[in-house]
Amino acid sequence: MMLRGLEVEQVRRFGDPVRLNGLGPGLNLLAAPNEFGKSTLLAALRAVFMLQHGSKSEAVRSLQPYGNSTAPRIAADFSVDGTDCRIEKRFVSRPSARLTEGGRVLEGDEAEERLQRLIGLEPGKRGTEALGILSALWVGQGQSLAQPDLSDPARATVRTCLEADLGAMTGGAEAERILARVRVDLAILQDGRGNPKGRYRAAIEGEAEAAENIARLDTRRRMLEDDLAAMAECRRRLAHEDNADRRAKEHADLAEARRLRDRLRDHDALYRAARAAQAHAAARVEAAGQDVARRAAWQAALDGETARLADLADGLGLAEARHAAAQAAHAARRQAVEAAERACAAARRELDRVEARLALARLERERHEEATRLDRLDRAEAEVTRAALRLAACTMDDARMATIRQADRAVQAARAASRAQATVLDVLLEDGTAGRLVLDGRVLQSGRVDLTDSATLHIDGVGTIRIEPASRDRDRLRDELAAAEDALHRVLDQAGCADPDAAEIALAQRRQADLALNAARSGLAHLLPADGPGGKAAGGRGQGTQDVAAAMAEARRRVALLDERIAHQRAALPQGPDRADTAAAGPDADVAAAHDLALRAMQGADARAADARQALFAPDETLRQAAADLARLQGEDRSAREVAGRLARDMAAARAAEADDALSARLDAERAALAEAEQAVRRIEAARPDGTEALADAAIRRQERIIEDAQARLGSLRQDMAALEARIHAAEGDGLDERIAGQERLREAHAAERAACAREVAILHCLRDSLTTAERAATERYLAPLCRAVQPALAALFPRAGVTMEADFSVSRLMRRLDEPFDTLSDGTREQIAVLVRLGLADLLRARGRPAMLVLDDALTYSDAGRLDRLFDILTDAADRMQIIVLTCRAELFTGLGARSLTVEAIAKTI
Amino acid sequence: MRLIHTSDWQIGKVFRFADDEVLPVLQQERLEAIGRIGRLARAQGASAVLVAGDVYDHLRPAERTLRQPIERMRQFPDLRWHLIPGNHDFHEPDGLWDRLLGMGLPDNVVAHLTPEPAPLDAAGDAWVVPAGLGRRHLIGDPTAAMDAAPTPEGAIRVGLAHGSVRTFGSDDATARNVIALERARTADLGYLALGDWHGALRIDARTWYSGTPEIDGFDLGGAGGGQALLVSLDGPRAEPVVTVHDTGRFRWARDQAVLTSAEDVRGLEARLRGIDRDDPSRVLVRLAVSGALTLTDLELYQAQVVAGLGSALRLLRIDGAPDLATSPDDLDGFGMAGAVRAAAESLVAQAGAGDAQTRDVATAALQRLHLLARDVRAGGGA
Repeated sequence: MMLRGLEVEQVRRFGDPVRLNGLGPGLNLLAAPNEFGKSTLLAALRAVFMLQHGSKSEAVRSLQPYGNSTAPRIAADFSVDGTDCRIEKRFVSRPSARLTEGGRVLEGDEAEERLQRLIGLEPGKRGTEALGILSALWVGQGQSLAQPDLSDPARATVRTCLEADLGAMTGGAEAERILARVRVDLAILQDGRGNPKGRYRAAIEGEAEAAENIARLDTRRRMLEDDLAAMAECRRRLAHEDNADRRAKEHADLAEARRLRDRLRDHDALYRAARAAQAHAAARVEAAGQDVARRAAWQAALDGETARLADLADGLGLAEARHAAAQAAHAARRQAVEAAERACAAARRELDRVEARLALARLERERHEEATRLDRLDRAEAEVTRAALRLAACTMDDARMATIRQADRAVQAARAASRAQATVLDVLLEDGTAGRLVLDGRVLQSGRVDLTDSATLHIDGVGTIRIEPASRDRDRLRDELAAAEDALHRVLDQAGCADPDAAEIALAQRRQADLALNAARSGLAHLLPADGPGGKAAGGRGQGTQDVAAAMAEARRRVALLDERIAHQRAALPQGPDRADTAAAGPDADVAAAHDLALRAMQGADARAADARQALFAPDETLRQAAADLARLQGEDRSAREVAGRLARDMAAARAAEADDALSARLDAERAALAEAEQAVRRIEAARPDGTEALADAAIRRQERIIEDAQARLGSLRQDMAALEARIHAAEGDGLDERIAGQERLREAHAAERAACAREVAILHCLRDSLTTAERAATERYLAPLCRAVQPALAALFPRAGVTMEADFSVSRLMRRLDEPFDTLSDGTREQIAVLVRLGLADLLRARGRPAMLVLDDALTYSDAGRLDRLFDILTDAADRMQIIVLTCRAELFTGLGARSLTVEAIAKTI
Repeated sequence: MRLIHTSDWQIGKVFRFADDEVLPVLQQERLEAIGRIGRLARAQGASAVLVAGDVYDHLRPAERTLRQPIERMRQFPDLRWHLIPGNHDFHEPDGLWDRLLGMGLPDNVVAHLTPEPAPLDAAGDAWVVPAGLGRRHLIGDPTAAMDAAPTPEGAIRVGLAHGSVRTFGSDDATARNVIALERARTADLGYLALGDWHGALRIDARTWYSGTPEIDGFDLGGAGGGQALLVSLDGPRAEPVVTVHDTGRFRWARDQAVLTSAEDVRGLEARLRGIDRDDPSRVLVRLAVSGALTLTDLELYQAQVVAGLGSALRLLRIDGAPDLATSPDDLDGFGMAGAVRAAAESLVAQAGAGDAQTRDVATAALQRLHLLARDVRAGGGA
């Protein structure tokens, strides 16, 4: 098929009629700027071939000029299989179609039908474009990126071409239709994710629900069976509890227990009465016995008291004699004590006097010693004062001496310096010339003379020689020497010495004076009390003076104090001449002897006094004992007499009340009564029933409780049974077994349905898979020619690459080094492949004698220069076989295409 | 005197294989059988009906199920119905029999729950010696007490019991509900009416199983069931005269077929239709199918047997299916070449190899492909 011309009028921007000129076989290029109307021309091309002239669809209305409702008119000249044709269409208002084929002209729907047959299109849905492969080959702006989306008729066309090539039916279409049916059937049982739905799902859910119901009912049945078992147990227990014989026996047992307790109580009362009677009789026997015994006791006591009184009378006499003797001895000892104490007092007084004398003598001795010490202190202090004065008189000290010595050394040094510079005169006098040489007025002897200054040597008889020493520093040295000598004299004057030697002597004297002062101070320090203020060791010169003064004051104070104490002692001395007085004048030994004597006398007197007092104590105890014994015996005698009196009175009164014989008879009678009462008690004890009252009570309580419990249990059992019965009735009324059987039937039915559904799904899957596999195999077979058609161009663009094509003729993968899915490729690559696929399809169509023609609108915009060149080559090659129309706004890019240039020119009228 | 011997009504039985449509019909028919038994008794001049156990199928039936047979019996006040518990409806304390007694039985219905003999009819010429079951499985002979059961002098003793007369492979010590074969003799019974076996069966002249009045399984098929016994007893020593009468409505059949050709399919269809040509809706069939058919014959089988008979009969239960026998003609039906033919060939290969399930699925898939391909070619594409 080849397009030879396209005329449009009243189509979008083209109001006035225009014609696309220059169309011819091979490559055609319409290069024009944006908004020129290239896309409009493509839209017009599609419209005139693919839209029904009578259509009112949006696609048709969009052809109208903007803001205008005029009728778009389009005409196309083309040739198919060598026949020239022209199609003219008018849309919207007064729509029309006219096809001129060779010499034949068709109008309206006839024209449409013929046109579609001519170029291999099928009518689309009402109002839309006709469907066919051309639709995919005429690529609009922005569609070049995607691969051709082939409609069913388009696919059928391609497939027919391919099948014709194979020379066999592939059955692809049939398989596809069957597959569609299978999918529909499958969709009834499975959702998109392969999960069961519809009756399949209902069966699964029904089965689960039935199983759940069965489990629930089973649980209820188990509960019912438990209830039935419990009911049976209740009935058994009820039969057991509700036994009349047993109840009668329980009541009889209770009555018997009560009777036993009553018997026990009666016996107990009898026994207590007998015991009381026995106790009473025993008490009476005891009372009579006591009366008899009391009388006997009284008699015995009376006899005893009488004998005791006699004994007491003897004892009393003896005790009184002992008491008198003890009193006499006590008086004698008291006197002895008094005498000894007097002697002791006298001895003490003597001792006191001797001790007072001794104290006086000691005080006087102390005073003497203190006075002597004071005198020595006085003298030592005077010595220190003298030595200090001598030291103070010395003008020389070590510092001053050092200064003098330094000055002396300076003088010596100056002199030595002067001499070193001096001119030396070695004089050797000949005999007899002595006194002839006079230097500066001084006669020279043989020897050496140092001249440090100008000198005049006069040689007697010879003349005068003026000597001027050549010393350069002569004047300075002389000045220095003079200064040093001045300094020495100054310090010597200050020290009051004539020369250094005198100074040394003065320094020695000073050291002597210093030593003397230290010796005097040391002597004084030894006289000072060691523990005095400052102490001996710390005694400095200045402080020593104060210490000395304080020590002397202290010594004087002590002398005064001693004087006072001596006077006081003398005043206190007992007056009167005695042995001690005389001895006081004598030597100290006598005083000491007197003191010893007095002391011993005193100790002797003390010992004697203590002995006497000791003696006084012991006899005192004897006396007290004698007095106590006497008092006790007297008391006993008195009480014995009272007791005896009372006894005699009681006895007499008792006998007056009841004679001894009567008492004895009463005792015998009471004893007989007691024996009788004891026998009665024994009789009653022997008749005692078994058991105790407490035990009998316990038995009664137990029996009562048994009866009560049984009643309670009966009540509770009946209650339990009523509850169980209600539950059982309810459960049985539900017909559990029947319902379980019903649910089991349901479950099985659902299971069967589920299995059937599963089988159906398996069958459909099996069928689907078989068909898919078969179709794929078939597709691969008949896709081979298409792949072959695409392959050369592909290899030119992507060396060593291959493509995988799908049943819908799309490329799914590009196989280069890697296997790349189409969707992941770059925009440029995708566009290039899309163009190649279209070329391939067009080639396929052309080769099978079908109309084929390619339109690319603004395509290949993503390609780089290299690929674009190769694409141009590919397009050029393809253009040898078919017409290719390229619309672009980028003229410069496509100059290398070498295409036929198209123009749009105004014409008079289209239709 | 004359009496009717029946048993194993098993009211409330649930047939698991039956769908929702069939089940209520089968259940209802078991109730209808009671009416037929009553009418049979009246027609034959019998005054009593002995039901030898298993009146109910479940130990705990629903209230309505419990009452339904009682109400049916109530409609025959001139007949005296004697019931004993069987192994399905044994007498447990507070169980269904207590429920029945609790709700009050009609005067003409007697439930023998203890072994005490009771008069069979108003005249007292014959006495029932019952041996109902107190539990599902009774170790020993439930009729053992019949020997010593006292009845008036000269009365006809009719035993009524439920159990087996045969142990099945196990020793006697563990045998359950096993009735001594000579019980009629040892207990001096004029007749021993037994229940438990579902087909009518004569054990000896005085001992019979009546079977169930309405067949309830495929196993017995025509060998029994669907009947009741009319028993004539002329005196205590006289041998009973027993006649078998049909009471069942449904016919249950078990069949099997090996299908290899269209003739086989047509023969099977004719055979099954012949079970009850007048009223196929009374027929229930359990069919075991095997063999192998070509695609065309499979289609015939599907249409004639599965779909056709399946609709005609009350119930058609098919076990198994014919395999696919492929022929070149079958494959040619898919065209000489092309994707569909390739798929069919693949399915034929699968149908001839692999495990049973794979083969079955592949066979069915091939059949489906056959149908779809035909549809599609006829213009019925999706």
